[in-house]
Amino acid sequence: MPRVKLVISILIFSILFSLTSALKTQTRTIEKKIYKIDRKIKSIKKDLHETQLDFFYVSSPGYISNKIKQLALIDYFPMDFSRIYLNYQSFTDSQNKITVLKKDNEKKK
Amino acid sequence: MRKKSRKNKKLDINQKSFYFEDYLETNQKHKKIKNSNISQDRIYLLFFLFFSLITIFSIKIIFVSLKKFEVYNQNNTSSNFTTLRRDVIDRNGIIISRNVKSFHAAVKPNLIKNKENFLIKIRLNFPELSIKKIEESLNQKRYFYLKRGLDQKDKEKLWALGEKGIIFEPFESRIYTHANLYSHILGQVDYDNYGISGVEKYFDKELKSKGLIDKPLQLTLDTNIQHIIDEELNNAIKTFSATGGAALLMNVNNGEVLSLVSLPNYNINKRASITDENYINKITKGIYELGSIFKTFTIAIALEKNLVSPETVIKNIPKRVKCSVHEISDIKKFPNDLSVEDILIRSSNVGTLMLAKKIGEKDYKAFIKKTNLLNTPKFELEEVGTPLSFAWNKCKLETISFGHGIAVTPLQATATYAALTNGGHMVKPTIIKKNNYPERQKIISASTSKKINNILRKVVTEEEGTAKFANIYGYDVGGKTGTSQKYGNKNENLNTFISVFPSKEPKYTLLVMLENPQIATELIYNYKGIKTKGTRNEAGWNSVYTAGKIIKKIGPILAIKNEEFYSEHVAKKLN
Repeated sequence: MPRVKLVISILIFSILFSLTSALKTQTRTIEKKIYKIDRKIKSIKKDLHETQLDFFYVSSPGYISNKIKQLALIDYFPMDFSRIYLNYQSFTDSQNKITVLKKDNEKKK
Repeated sequence: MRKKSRKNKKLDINQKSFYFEDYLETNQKHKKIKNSNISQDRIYLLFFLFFSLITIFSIKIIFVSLKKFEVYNQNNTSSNFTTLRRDVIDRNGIIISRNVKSFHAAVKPNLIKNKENFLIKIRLNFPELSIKKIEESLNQKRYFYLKRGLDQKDKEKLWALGEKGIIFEPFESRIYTHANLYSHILGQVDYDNYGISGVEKYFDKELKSKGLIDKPLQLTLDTNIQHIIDEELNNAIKTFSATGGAALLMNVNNGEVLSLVSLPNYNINKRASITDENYINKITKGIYELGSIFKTFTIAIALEKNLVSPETVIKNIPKRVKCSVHEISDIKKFPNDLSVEDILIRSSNVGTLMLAKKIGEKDYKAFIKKTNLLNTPKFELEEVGTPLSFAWNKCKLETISFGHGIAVTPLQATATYAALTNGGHMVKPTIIKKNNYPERQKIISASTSKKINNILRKVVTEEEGTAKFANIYGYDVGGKTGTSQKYGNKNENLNTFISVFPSKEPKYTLLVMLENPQIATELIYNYKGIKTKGTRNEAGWNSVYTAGKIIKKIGPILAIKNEEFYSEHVAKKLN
């Protein structure tokens, strides 16, 4: 009987011991995570603070109207519409067509 | 245990010696009980110990999850981000002023090994800096500032120099996103973040309040409207070769200032000492004789006192009136008999003078007192002017009736127009957004206010009116012009127009003022499809024209119900 008691005591002790250590480690991990996230939040907040300022500067009516005036002075060249590719696929398709046509022409010759 | 004790009790009956039993059995039993109690206690203690530890860590987890994160960063000040001053935003939440971290470049002369090399590098990279002064400071071996408020480029250049002696001292810099646009309102702060002018000075305490640091200070101003007015006023100054100009847009019902422009202005992000008087805030600090603008006040008093009605004809109006040394006359030739509303529509000096005589000095004085026209206006800016005081001598009533001999701020004149057109309630001009605006004193009745609105509308619509160019389709504009000579400089004109729109139920009043405008010979005016060249220099030909252009642009932003547009286009389409 005393042995059973001892075993039970040791068992409870070891369970509680491991539980405590697990809890302690988890607490530390959570704390570290919070600390890291907190630092990230702060740096994002700082960035946001300055980005907001940039946004309001760049989108201010005075800045926009100045940009419009500047851009109005630039002479734009008309672009060949056939050379505008909407995506990579349309580019390869058109290139394939050109090669097929070239080959056909060569064969004919 | 119980079974054992029962067995022992049975044995007790047959036992031979008490002492024998006691020695052998009872002592052992007690010992066993004692031992078991000790082991139980140990288990309890262990339980208690672990239970306490678990509780402590559980509490810690809860505490960590609930606690504000600032606690963990107390030592790490580099990542902490709190500003010294609150943001300032406009009525739509657009940031107009904010603090950001910036750097001053300072020099520790002891850490600079090769001074000549250092000076050459500075001269090459920053030719605008005075090398002599830097050399002197280096020789004195005192810590000094090389350049204050560095931008990113300057900072990178200084980094590239690789000098140990250059110290980047962090500080908070106040950035104004709209540069010139709010220069006369926002003011500036010094390097230590103390407000030195404008809103920054007036609300210095509130802007630095730690409890409110996350809440921006909201102004009543509208950035888009401010920009439009600023742009149009700049164009007007160029077109009419004026020396300056100012404009004020105010809500007639609560005194909220939506736009306050005074030109010339300056970039508040750059530090410079300005001594030129032309750079003052002309709306709040400038004191001017606004001329015929005052005729509306005279007529309002006469109507309020029931001395006349708008249709009452004043007969035999003389061409000239002599008062002491002054000779008062009209610019144009008017009929001898004019109705009261005609006096305002045509802007007759002599007609107004005759009405003022009917009113009398006592009632006129009472009106001026009620409207606070001669007191320093209460406004949320440091730069506020005090109207010039004067004695009511022989001809004062006569001259004041048409706006001469009385100098006030344009802010006061606009606020009085707001009161005359909103149903008669005085308004307190403000640039700070509030939830509630207090009830103000009534200076005229609602019926008089309505009559004034009708007459002001006629000033714009009638053929003889002085403000025809402000008749913007759909916005029901009313108003009064004022052409006067600048106080203290009779060679310079001051042309003003105060408009109210929409006249049927006024919401806004707009003042446009141009200093010393010239005839715009190049400009072609378009009035009701008739194109004419500029030949005259009164307010009707420049300030009114500018106000019209402004109203045309800001009207859609202010979302005024354009009744004329609706009935003309939408109704027709539906039919």
